[in-house]
Amino acid sequence: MSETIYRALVLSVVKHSYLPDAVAAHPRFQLVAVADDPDRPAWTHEHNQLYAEQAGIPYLRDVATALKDCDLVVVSSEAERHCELAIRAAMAGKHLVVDKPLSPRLSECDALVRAVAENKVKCLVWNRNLLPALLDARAALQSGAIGSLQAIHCDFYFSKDAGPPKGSRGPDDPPINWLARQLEAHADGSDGGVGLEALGELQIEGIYPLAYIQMLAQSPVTRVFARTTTHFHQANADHEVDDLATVSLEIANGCVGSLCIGRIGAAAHPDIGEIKLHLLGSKGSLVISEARPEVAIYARNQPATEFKHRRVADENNYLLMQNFADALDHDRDTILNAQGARDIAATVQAALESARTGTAIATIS
Amino acid sequence: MIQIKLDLEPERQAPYAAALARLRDVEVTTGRGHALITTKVGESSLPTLLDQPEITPPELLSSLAGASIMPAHPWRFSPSIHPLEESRSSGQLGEAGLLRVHHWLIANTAPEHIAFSQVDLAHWFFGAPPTHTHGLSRANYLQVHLGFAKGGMALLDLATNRPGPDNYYSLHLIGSRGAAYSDDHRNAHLLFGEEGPRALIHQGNQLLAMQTMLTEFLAGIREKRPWSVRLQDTIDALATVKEVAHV
Repeated sequence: MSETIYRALVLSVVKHSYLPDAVAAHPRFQLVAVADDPDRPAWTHEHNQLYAEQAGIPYLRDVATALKDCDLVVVSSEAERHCELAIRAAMAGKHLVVDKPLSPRLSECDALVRAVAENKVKCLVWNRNLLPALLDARAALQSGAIGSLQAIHCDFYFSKDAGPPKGSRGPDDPPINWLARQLEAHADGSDGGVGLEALGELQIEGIYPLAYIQMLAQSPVTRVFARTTTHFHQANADHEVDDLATVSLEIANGCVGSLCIGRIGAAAHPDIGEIKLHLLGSKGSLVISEARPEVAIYARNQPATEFKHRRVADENNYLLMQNFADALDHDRDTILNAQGARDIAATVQAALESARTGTAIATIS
Repeated sequence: MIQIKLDLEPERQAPYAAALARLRDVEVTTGRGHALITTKVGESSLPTLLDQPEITPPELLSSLAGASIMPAHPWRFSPSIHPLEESRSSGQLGEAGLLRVHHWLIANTAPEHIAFSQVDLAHWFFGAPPTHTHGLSRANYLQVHLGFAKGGMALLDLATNRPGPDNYYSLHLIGSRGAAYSDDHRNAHLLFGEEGPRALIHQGNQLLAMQTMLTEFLAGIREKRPWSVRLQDTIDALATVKEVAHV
């Protein structure tokens, strides 16, 4: 019996194309078109058109019409539009693959959770939970190798720059335009949160490590204490959003956790950055390097921007889409659904509130 | 030749004697000597290295202002820490932004006990005690979360009574221009035995730390200058530990 090929509509693709590329690469999915609203700014249409041409599919400036001819949507818009586009698709009965972060606003996440439930559609929010190192961590934990989990910590740093360093703006220089800076980032690889709304590192990337913690702890975060600062980048300083943060986590099942996160500059690590998990169990402990397995390649005249240690055996994209196909085929849940991503957004929101007030804050459940 | 008297319990005396034996122009004496290493305070006017200052009541330490005492903070002199601090203090890393520590001990000791050294490192790297503190305690576990002026932060994960054969230590210090990593995971060897592979972690830091600390103690005496560690550093670290651990 042949398996269903699911038809995917890309709803706006204004930043890196890893999400629609991952969908297109899986044999159970086929991209049918890119679509967006007609009143979007010109740069949005340019990005959408370019991706459509590269993928050999049409670009439609009419979301409602495009939604009629697909099984699912792939939302790769600016972060502040993720939920709005996803809700429109859910209400049309379409399944959802949504880029991270789900949304900077918890109210929009709540609305999406409701739309997904009411329309009985599946939702996968993009994550890195199926990287080989995370699969190893999960297997070790599930095998009982360290007993019951007592504490879980994640250090998550991207050693990328993000435009001029903090302190480089002259007294008469205007603040850096956030959107223009993010659009430039495609050229130099210092990509961050594309959109009109300035987002800190905790809001942009925090979903990745918090999803690790959520998957491994199997219990929601209830209370946080956090510190945030702008330590590295002028664009973040100009818009008063963090590029370095620490978060203490209290988890409902009695575990404690913590997160250190930052966009710490390209000079701060020889590769993409130090990303590690430290797990304490009742019978043992586990230290996981998220980048491994990797191979090392060193050569004369090697470009300075080339990572010398390269990840191998990374099937995260394929496995996420396989997870989504399984969810559609067998009416199962996805590895990170709308509710899970919403709970992570609640943790991020509480962390930002904690950093602002200097006190521990309960998450909104 | 500087003669040093060791007024310590035998188990504490042995590592000091071993470290002193590696140094020039110094010898251990049973007489009065020129300097003293002890855990007792206020009993001598000699230049004194106060061993385990964290077990001395802070009020007593405060009463000793002006005394010729260097508190023993061996972690500051550890081979895995010293290069990081040199890099930081030379400006190579830029302004310190974040200190992260994972420190797990197999010893069944109170986590507050090991918190002292790590909190002191945080104070040292950021140049002052914190402006914000937060602690999470569980059995054999303490998480210390500190905020410093100018946005600096430290997050310390401290566990004791851990299963397994070895302690584990991981530290990184992230500055505005670079980062430094000191990490047992990165430095571990692999042993393949009958029960499967296990990591081998080098445990040679303690004696070298003590040797470097004693070098500073002796240099302060010879050069008639203040030591790089002050009693106030001990008092500050104890105060922060008390605040986060509620002890």
